[in-house]
Amino acid sequence: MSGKVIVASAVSAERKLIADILRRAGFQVMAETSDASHTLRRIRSLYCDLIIIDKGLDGGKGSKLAEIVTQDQLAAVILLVDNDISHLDRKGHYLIKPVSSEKIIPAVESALWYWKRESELRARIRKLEEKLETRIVIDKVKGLLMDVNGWSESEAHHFIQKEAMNHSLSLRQAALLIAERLADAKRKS
Amino acid sequence: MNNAQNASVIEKVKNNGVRFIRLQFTDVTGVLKNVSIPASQLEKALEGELMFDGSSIEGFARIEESDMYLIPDPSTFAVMPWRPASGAVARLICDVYTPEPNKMPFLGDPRSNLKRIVQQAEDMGYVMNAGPECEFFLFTVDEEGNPLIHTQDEAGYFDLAPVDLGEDARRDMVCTLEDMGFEIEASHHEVAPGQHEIDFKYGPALRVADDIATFKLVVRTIAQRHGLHATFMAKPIAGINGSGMHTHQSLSTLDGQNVFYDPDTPNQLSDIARWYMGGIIKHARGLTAITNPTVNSYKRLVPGYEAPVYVAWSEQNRSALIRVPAKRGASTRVEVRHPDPTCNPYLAMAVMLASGLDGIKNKIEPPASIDANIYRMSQAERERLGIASLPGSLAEALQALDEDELIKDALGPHIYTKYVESKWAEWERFCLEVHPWETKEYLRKF
Repeated sequence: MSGKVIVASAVSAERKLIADILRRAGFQVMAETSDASHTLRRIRSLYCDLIIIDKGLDGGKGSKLAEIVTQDQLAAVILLVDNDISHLDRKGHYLIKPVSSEKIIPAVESALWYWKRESELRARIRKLEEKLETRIVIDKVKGLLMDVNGWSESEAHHFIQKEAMNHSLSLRQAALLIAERLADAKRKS
Repeated sequence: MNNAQNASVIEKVKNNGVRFIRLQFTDVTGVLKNVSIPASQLEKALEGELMFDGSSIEGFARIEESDMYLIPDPSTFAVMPWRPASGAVARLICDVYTPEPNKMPFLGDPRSNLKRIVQQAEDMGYVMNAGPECEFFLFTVDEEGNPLIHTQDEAGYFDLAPVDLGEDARRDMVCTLEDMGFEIEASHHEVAPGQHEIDFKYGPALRVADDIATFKLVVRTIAQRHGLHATFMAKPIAGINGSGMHTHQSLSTLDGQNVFYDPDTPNQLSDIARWYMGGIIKHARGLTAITNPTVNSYKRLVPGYEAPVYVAWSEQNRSALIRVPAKRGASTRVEVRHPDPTCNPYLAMAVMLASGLDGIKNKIEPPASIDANIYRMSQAERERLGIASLPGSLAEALQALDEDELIKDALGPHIYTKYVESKWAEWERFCLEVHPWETKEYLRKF
């Protein structure tokens, strides 16, 4: 498996160790960072797949950083935590220190795999939402056309299709345009 | 209080899974304050039963008025778009009220004060519309999170980066503002490196003042999420353009007709528009302490960087205090160019509106428009044309404010006293400090 990774930890030995393990295993370590703002700037400009964050970064800002990365869907996150995990909210991948290659490689691989799957699902959801919205718009405009012109459903649908082709628009854009025109006509009458 | 609006707020809180609500207000210097309450307290807050300790807020500090009420304005409800994962957070902008038995709008609350001036305009039959253009800088931060005077798009520092961090952050800001219901008209990189501008749609003065306060919060929050620091400081770097908050303004009748437009005059500006400008020009020196409130603000108001220095108006030239954009009809407006984004938006709107209204009431004619570049005129030429200068320092501005009874009235005695007190203290701190420039200039020489 391959992937682009950023390692963020204030402890330089830890950072080097992790980067070394990952590079040997064939991952691309794009940056090693030691503070939260620098890390954010790196993530936003380098487009990586995974970021490994030490929870203790900047005196405990590691989890805040992980939260931002997750909320803004920038990359997969693995949080490195100390032995005491009683305060951890456990809403993501985490690894208990010290790290070793036996521990970190499987964690990185599964985090990357989940990230890939999540990204695919997100893309699919977005597509479905768009389709659904298009369907709603078209149905609404079809209804309007049927009311105004006394057409059947297929006549109304055909009209929208024709408008779309004539003006090189998507069905949704054509439907919105027709709705606007109908509203204009109604206002004038 | 409007019950239907309150009910709709409660419903929105439920539908959006809001767990915390921030009750916001500003102190006299324009710093946004907030009290966070759990959603369960919302009903009580909307009924206006929530109290807070005002004695530790700048400009509120009168010990006998320490307990005050926060009365939320339900029309300002918005969900903060950047914390969706762990239960959403929403905000309500509030008016501050004095404690029982009076329970009246607190005289030291800038928002209530603006409402008072807006009401004066309404009594005359006018509604003020304003459209601000807020500029700001994005800087990088060091390991401790302290901002550096590095602009993020300085070549060299981010050589590796395939994208412009500032552009990216600004896009995110625009999206966030839109999620909060802002209509963004334009957003672009400004003249100076690292400087950006985001313009949002004009609206009634009170809403726009609310929007400016929200805008600053959003810009700073999103910048932080990008590892950057956003500053609204007027002139962060000597030698390059500073950040202004040009404020477009116009008056309309209560039913929305622009009264600055008159197709029958040569320049299509109505008497009211001219008198409004006349009022602003008359009180320009007095209101500058409010629109440009920091020591640093006056380092922006110098010739050569597109900031106004002289009190005049023009249809073309951007060196004048007021520019009249070419658009007419419903978009007829004047653009006051000296405010900067460090001002308290509520106070700035209040003093500009009050000056304009004074112009209309007393039919104050502005001087003739000046279309030449005033920067290039000699002192004698300016004197001949009757062009005054804006105050050159915070101290001069505070003196001018002291001499302007109308502006003092527009602030109300409480805000005026507190404001001037805190600003003179700021000036004194500045004067007592030995600045790096001084050591650089004199240490070796003498």
